[in-house]
Amino acid sequence: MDKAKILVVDDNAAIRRGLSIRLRANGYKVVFAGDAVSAIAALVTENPDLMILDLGLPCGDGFVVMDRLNKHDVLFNIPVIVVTGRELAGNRDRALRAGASAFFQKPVDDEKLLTAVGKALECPNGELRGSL
Amino acid sequence: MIVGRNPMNDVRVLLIDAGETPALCQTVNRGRLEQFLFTQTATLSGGMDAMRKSRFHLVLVNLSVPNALASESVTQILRIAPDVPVIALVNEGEVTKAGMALRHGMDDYILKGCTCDYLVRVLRHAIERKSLTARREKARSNAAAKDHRLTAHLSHECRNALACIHQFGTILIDGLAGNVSEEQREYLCIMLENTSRIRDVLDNALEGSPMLEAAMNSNPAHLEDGPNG
Repeated sequence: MDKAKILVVDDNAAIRRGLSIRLRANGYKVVFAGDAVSAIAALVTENPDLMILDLGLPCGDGFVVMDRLNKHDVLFNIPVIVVTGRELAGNRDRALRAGASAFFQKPVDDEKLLTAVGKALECPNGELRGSL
Repeated sequence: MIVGRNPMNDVRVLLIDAGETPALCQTVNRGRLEQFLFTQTATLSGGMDAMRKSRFHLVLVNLSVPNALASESVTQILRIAPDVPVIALVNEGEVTKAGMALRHGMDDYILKGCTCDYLVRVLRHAIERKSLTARREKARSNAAAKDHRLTAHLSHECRNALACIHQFGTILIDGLAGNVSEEQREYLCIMLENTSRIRDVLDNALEGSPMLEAAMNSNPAHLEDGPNG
């Protein structure tokens, strides 16, 4: 079976690198984007199985990325896990309403993140959305 | 023409009164540099139409006008021009009505039998007070927005830095970057425990901060645009 491909979107290169090491160590293939525009482009070109998305990004933000994703005919069912440094108030509920499968504040616990990734990949059509 | 008069200082007053223009309003301008320019309508609905078409400094409502005391009437007036003071004009012995008008949101009341000087003082005072209140409200709203930006910035910067320490600490401790001795593992555990402690402090300080809650409650609309994070 092919490795699941995860798109990691974060403007912080160190965080992208750290997540990449962790995800690869757990058998996932990882691709990156550092801003909202690159993220949207990567969704189309890479067609990932899941996206780990930061909210605060250059050239837009994570909500813009989710909005574009939701409106896309083919890509709309790619599960999204939000990992952000933003405060909970005003962001968590908004992200879950926008379709995120899970919302984590940085720093995220590796086990919790990997569990959420596993569950979201099991239900790529969004059955888990808002449940975590 | 009065010498030294500056039309810029004129005060435009909307008078809502079904009867003749009160004598007080007819004589108030005599001998004054500042002029009170009255526009009169007989009904509340006519007054509201006038407010939609023209800008007034103040609204003077005779409480004898039908529905003048209905709370929804006052609410409608305030909705059209929230920064314009509304003053009730009452007859002697109608102080109870005047109290009701204040409870419904009018800014002040004056008796029809008052002196011109008193009328001028009340009108001027109402305009200044309303303006001051609006400036204070704006300043409070700006301060709340600034507080929120500061909180969001702190959250972003601190959490990203902590995330890096945590991520690479766990990468080391799990041996993903090579073997780690027991002593090194012990030190890494101490490092990660303290990372968690800082995170708890951040959660308590930022997520439950009165500053943030005040900012969220004051103007939720502008809080969607946080900084990167």
